[in-house]
Amino acid sequence: MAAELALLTPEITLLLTIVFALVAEMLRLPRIALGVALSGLLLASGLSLPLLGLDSSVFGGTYRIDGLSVWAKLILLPATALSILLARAELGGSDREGTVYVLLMLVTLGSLVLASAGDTMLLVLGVLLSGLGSFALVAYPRDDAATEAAMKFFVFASVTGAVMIFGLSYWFGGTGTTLLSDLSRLEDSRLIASVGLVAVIVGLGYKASLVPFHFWAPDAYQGAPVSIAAYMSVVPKIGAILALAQVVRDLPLGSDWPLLVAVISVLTMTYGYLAALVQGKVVRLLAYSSIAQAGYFLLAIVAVGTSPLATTSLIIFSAAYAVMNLGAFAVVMCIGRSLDDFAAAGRRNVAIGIAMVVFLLSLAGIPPLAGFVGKFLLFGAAMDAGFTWLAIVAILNSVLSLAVYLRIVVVMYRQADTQAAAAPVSLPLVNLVIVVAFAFTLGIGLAAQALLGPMG
Amino acid sequence: MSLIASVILAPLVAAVLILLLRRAAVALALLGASIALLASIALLSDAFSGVTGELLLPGLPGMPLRLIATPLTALLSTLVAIIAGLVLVYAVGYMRQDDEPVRFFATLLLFIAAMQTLVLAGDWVLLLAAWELIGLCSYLLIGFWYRRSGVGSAASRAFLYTRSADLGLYLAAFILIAEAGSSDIATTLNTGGGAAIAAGLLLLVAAMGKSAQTPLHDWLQRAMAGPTPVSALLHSATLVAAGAILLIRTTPMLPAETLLVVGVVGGITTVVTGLIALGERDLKRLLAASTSSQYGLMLVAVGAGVPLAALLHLIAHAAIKSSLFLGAGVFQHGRESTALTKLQGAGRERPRIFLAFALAALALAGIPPLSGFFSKDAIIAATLASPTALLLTPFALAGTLLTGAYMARALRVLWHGDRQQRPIAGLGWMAAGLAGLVTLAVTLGAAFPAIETLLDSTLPVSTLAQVLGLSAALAGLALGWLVPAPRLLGPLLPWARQGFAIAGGFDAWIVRPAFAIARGCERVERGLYAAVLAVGRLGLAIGQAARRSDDRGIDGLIFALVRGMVDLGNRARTLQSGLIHREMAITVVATAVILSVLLATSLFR
Amino acid sequence: MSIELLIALITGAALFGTGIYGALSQTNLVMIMMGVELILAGAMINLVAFWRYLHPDNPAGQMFVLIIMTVMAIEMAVGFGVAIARFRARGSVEMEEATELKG
Repeated sequence: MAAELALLTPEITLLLTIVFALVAEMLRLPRIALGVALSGLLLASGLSLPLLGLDSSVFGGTYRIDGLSVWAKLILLPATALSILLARAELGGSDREGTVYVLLMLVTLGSLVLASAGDTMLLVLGVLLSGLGSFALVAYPRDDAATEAAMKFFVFASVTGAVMIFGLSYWFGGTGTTLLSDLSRLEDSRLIASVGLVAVIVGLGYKASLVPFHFWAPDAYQGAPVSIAAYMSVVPKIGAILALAQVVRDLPLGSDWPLLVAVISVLTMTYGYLAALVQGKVVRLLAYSSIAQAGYFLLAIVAVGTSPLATTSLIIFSAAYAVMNLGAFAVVMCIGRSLDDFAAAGRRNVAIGIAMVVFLLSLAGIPPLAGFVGKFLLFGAAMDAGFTWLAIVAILNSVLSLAVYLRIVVVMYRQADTQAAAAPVSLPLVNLVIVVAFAFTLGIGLAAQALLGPMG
Repeated sequence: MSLIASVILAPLVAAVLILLLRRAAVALALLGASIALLASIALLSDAFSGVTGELLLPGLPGMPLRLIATPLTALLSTLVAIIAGLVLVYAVGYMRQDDEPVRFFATLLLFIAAMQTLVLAGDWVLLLAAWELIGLCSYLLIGFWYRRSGVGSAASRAFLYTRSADLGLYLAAFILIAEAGSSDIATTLNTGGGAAIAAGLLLLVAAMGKSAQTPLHDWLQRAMAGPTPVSALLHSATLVAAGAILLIRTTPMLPAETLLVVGVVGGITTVVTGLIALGERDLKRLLAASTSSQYGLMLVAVGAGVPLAALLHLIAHAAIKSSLFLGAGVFQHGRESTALTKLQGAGRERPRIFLAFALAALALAGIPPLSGFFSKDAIIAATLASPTALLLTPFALAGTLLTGAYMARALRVLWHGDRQQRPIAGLGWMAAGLAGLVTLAVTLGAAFPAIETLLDSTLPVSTLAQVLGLSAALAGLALGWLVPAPRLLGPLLPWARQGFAIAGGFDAWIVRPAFAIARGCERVERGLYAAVLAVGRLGLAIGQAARRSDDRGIDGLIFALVRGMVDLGNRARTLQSGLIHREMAITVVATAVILSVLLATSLFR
Repeated sequence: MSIELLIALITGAALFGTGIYGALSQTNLVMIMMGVELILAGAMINLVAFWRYLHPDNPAGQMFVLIIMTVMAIEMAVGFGVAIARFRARGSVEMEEATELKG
């Protein structure tokens, strides 16, 4: 038991941090809550480092400590810290500011549970934990848009969650256990395997905003504070994608699930970029872009179990996606939510302009930025698994994506300076986030080898 | 190998410094360019003494990023550095009146760094990165005067054209890496079989986009909206050269079938764009069309299996064409226009500039002992010696004839007419850059034997080629000087004026059939259901968009595609009705569909 | 498969169908939550039946039911929290009136 708890030190640290931060908030000491949260998150990430290279599980196989789950901690915990900085810059000084940090960390805990799930019950708990905090975060401003967004989000989440639980009940009937590692027993009962899989895709697909389960995402991102939108487009999404990888890893191949995932992947990327092409608000554009990026993640899911590249590419792309998306949202916080606010912004503030161009080009997958390395490996994984057509569709979509992202770049540099007033806001904390994200967006490409070293 | 790094880093650092300091742009730019020039010359001398420089950087797992200085890449790098340096000197004078030198010089230096990376890249990933970067820089530079009307759309058009062709490069690189298991260019050149054919054709598509080959030639002429030094550097010597360089570097891999296609594409381009140049009414656009035409000739040489001839012509052409552009830029400043009617007699005002321009023009036409003569002679000899001589030689000769004709026409216009003297600011700098380039254009031919020994390969020699080439060039010059272009082109004139874009042709080939299909679909649609309706509408939309856009053909198609995409996006957007019920119903129905499809596949197997 | 199990599964499926219909057809947030409860009830019936008739030796089925009960309770609580926040901002929890965010 003690040995098992030692493997859980990052999660336990996070939990204790949450408790301490909550106490600080109850004493109305938001600054202390912030300090506790940041240091706790960094400590937890540090404590995850010794776990690298392990491949084991705790609590009788229900909670996995493997490459995916450890890297999820190393990516999601720092990403949460960056989001907390953004939230401090945007919501600092508001009533009950400390609860935001606590909720952010709770959602992260839920996402970590998802990424490490070895049991269907933990899937349910992870979805619940990461969902509940999100509703409260979206509704935090309590105004018309925020509550509408939270309400839609809640309705969508509760229905999809219930559908997932209902479908999972059949898996219990089919296998006799709730362990994911026993899913191979479904080899002969394709029917049950399919029903459960569709249910899982509904439940996790909503969280990862895959088409056709994405409808809540643009509304929720638009209604929520920008920092919360940035967070939600990164942490719970990556958690859900990794959970999907954990599930399909043990699923018998006979049930055609790779083809199903591939089709959803195509739908998701194409729909996301098409809808992004006509958006007038940058937040909504980025929301659709993050929907489309979720489709790229699925390229690796397709290859799970057949290609050794799948895990690698998932991890690298998760890290790349986290930094570039957080960076882009951070720039939106500086400049404004509407595309009009971006008019000539690149000429007014050169540094932020360059950073935004780098984030957007990285999202589009231009070499040698982080996004390219991730996508390159994803394409490789898909081709390795025999899904060359999917890789080609993804490359074609990348061209479409460039049109999407260049829309922002063009406005930033081409459009005449119409409004002199709206100079970019310079917030020290946001600038810090932008600098960190910028460094990683440039560095991940070069660091890919170092990053992959410890995983073997 | 710090030399390789400094070739790329010097302009890059200079660009960053210019952006950060926002002053002393000129001095920093010249400093960065000269360091890069010295480093690349050192690389070249290393290459002469047989040392191959290589620099490995950490990159993708198992695929390090790689810069190499083989004789070929060192030579190209030196060429880029020299032309870039001289154009920068010229630009100092040309941009004196402009109020945003910081943006201009920073982008130009960034472009130079990217071009050096492209030339020196030893692996596909780095090559892709550089390829994207030069595309982006050219977009920014063409659109430099973004406030002038039409400039933004010219920049976007150039970007769209080359971008859609870039897909070819991405796919080719994926095929080659997957086949060879390594991203090293030298290793992937051992690929053979079907993969080599497919990759070769895809590379050709990419090269066609960047080097403005028919039918993707239209963007280059529109790109002339940018400042003249940009035209001189990007659209004659470097950016456009990327396509040809790509093919020259990969020739060892290309199988005979692919080479034949390359040669034919080049041949068609050289004739079509040569005719366009002959009919052109604007000096810079004439030179742009001629650029496409000359790159067509290089592709012919590649197709004949002698990449060395293509390389020599690339080098000669780089010096010649940049001199021509720089000369045109001086005339432009003198008359505030580049239209040929406004430029009549501009040459007489400045005899020395005209002399330089004329020397370059004669060199391009291929008059001995100027550099163009040797390279063109090499191309014709190469086609004569190739197995497909019957097909390729006529193309090469026609290209040579047309070159003489349109250059003579330009010279005639510049010489005949009234003089109107006007002072030009910064003429000294411009003249200095021009003088350097013209000297190169005149004398480069003497360096060709050294290049042959450096690259350790020989050109086919043929007296017949020399006679044929020279007589074609002289005939072209005589025709162009004596016969006015309208009469020369005859019924082709209206076509050539519209850039062969290919009003009648494409209308008949694509637009009308699209209409016919659309009409047919509409007829069927009454009986059938909505899916057919959508196809019909799409066809109709493409047809109409192609007809509406001011000029037609591929151009219209690309824009129709963009518009169709936006249209689709709008349609996708209406799904997001804001009514959570309707949205959730879509989700549930989609889930049901997914489930039933899965069940069906698992039951019926 | 025993007849008792079949009856239980059919009941579960019927509850699921009713719940989905409710969630899709109702426009009031509270009513939608009732629909969700029905779906979860269907899942619980399934689980209990599977445990009782197929895998009586594995207590995971019972545990899962307990977890679902917890999920239901927590989700209800949060749902009402959202509903109250919405009511304070807008004076109504009708979904049809929440259409400002779209496109």
